[in-house]
Amino acid sequence: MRPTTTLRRVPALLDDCIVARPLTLRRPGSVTYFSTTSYRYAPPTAGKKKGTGGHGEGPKKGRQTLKIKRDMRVKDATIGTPESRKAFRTRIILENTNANTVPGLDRLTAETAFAKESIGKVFTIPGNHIDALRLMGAFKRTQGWHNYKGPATLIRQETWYIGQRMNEISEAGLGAETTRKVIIGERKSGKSVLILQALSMAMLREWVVINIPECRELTDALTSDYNPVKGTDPLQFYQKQYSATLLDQIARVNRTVLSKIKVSQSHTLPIRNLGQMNLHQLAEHGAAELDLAWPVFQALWTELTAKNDPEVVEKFGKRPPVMFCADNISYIFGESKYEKLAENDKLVPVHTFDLLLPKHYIDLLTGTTTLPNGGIILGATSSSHYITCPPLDVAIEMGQERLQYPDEKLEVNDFWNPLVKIDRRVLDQVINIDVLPLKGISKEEAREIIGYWALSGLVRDRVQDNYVGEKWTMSGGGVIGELEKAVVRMNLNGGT
Amino acid sequence: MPPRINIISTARNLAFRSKHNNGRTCHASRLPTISPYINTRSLSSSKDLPTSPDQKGPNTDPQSTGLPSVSEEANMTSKIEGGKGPDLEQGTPVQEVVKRDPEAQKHLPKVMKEELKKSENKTPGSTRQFSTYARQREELTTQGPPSTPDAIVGAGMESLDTPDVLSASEADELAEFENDLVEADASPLPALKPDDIFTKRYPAIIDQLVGQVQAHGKKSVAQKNVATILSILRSSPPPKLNPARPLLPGHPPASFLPLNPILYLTLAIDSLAPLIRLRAEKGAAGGGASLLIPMPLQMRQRRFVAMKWVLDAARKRKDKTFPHRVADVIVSVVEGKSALWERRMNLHKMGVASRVNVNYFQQKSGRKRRM
Repeated sequence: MRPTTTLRRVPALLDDCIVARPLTLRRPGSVTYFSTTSYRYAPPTAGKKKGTGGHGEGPKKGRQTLKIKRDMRVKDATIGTPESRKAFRTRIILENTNANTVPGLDRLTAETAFAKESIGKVFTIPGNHIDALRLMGAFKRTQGWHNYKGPATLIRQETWYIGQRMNEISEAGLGAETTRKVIIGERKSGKSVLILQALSMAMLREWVVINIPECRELTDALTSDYNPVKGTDPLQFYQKQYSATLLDQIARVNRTVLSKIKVSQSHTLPIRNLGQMNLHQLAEHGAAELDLAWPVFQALWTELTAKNDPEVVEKFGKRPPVMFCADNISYIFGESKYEKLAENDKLVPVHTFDLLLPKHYIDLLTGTTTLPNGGIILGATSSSHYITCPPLDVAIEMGQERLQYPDEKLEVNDFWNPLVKIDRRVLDQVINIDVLPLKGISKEEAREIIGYWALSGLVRDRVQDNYVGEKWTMSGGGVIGELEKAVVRMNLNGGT
Repeated sequence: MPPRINIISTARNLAFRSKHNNGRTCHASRLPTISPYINTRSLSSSKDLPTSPDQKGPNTDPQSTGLPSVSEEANMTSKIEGGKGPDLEQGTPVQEVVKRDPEAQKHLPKVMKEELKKSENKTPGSTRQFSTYARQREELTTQGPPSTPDAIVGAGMESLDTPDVLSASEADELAEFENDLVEADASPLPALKPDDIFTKRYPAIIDQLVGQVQAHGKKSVAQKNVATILSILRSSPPPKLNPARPLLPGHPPASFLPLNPILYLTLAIDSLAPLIRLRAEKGAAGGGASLLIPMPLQMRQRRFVAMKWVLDAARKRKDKTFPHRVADVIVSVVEGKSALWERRMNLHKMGVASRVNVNYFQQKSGRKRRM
């Protein structure tokens, strides 16, 4: 066979190799591989893809890999927005159509509510009060109103006591005293319901009623805004939104009372025809405009606490006494969740005494400011959802001691635990508060309320002395919430 | 071959012979001291007891004393009266023998003399060194809050202090009060009914439902949900029963159900609960096919299945909250509208169809035994 390349051509071939190829031969953008092997130009064959175990492909058959299974459980089908669901969950139901109507149940009236014979009797709350009390947030969800035909309440010793003070103040007229009480007592002892009763009774006497249903809302920085008042030291804050809501509540609940009273003083408010307004219209103005809410509240308060001089009464109407209540008060005695910038450029919590609305109530409760036309200021502690407040605890303990030994002079140091950090600003303010301790109801009262429950169809036992005695003992000596739990809820849901 | 009777162990069973201790585990000071007199004297020896010359006891011969023994006399008297006297074979206690014989009493041992003296003074002493008054007086005198609100507000410890000298009216009151106490004590305690003994805090069905509703270990949330379910049942209108879907026989009328929500829930669950479950035994039907075997369910198991059905159905429903969904399902079950009834019926149908397999396991074990 003849060789393709003769030996004579070898030098010429070598020359070809040595001569550099011109650079123009390389196409721009072409890839240079670190391999002398030529790459395949052929495109991939179309057809069924085979897993090669490469990156981005499925695992080879038989190879174990991490598999995360999808959660196949049935998810709860919820409807509505979270807000609407919360509103639905926390709504207050005040009647049960399945419950029996209790025969012979009287209505709470101006006569029955204040009579001594009413102690230990159950009365229905008047229909026009129910809406007002609901608006004021006086009904709480855990109080079990949804089990009965309509809201009814037991007049107990302490209710009657508040009624008596109310009578005294109403009779005294000008220069009447102010009753200030912090209602204390163990969990479920009826503190919030006592406030509800007091509000209802005040409405029967046509007083002005104001209620802060939950003090936590004023300080937890979630449900209310805060705005600084310029030129104050320490910096004060007012809460537009809450003030507007409160004014709205006051205007709606006290419509008839406030409509009779005219504005008697001059206020620097950007409201037209202020001089011809009545207090109801003033409050409505404040409720409608957020920026005006706090100044209007102040103006309203000045009007309500104007002295009932004869000429003022004749010209502008008589100012009634005020019932101002607040629940779960331990939240407004200390630091709030709001923050402000301190001098060292650090954020520090705002003290609740620098929040104008809580301070307004605190001054009334502790007697720093007075009510010239009289009134009752009530505050209830809570044992369910509260924050500890050492100065308030000291003051409450001292208040209890003062009840037992009215003549003794008490020393703060005897009640002060030196190992607990105490807020002196709060302690100085609350040191002289009066307390109203709530204990269990008596056996007679227990029998009456159990009878009411039985007639509503919630007791499946015979209500006899031994039954009442047993339940009274089981409820820690007639603590009313526990009594309800032992008698009603045990029958309804097995006590769960 | 070992002896049939183990002499050593027999002897040990007798009370007077202590177990032999070889001293390995016992402390030296606790070892019995060896006395020369103990083991030399046997209790069965006839030499120890004095014997009477005529083989008669001191009181055994009626002729010599002129009287029968006390027991015999009592026996004879009761025989005349038609009764049954003391057992003569038991012998007569010495105390009884010497009761009517002052001379004999003088010769009694000291211990017995003292006993006799004690039995003569039967009236116990009027004072007791300890108090048997269990109740606290304080509790009884102050039941509930004081009578006037002024007393509440200014309540001191005065009410608990008793004055040193009682006035006449107060003394009467106190006497009356103490009389009342005596009467109260004398009255019998109310008899306990079987239901009064609470071994479980909650009804069984409630406990079970709480357990099934519970998720992520949050029991109190589950309890709250169950309470809400019952509360919704309580406030819902009475269900309209469907005669095509009969509930458990003997249930109360529909209008009663919302008044007793636990009964409402129990009725729904127990009516819905299937009687059987179908167990699929793999490969038992031949050719790798599984065989359905109906198995009976206990009460608790039946409730478990029904609750599971109800809760699963509730999860698919659309409503605002979980308790509302569950309550809706329960109401629809009682009203006969729920699709769960179909499920129950189908299960029972299949159970009937496969009832030939009921004895599958017995037959299987029987076959094995024969092989």
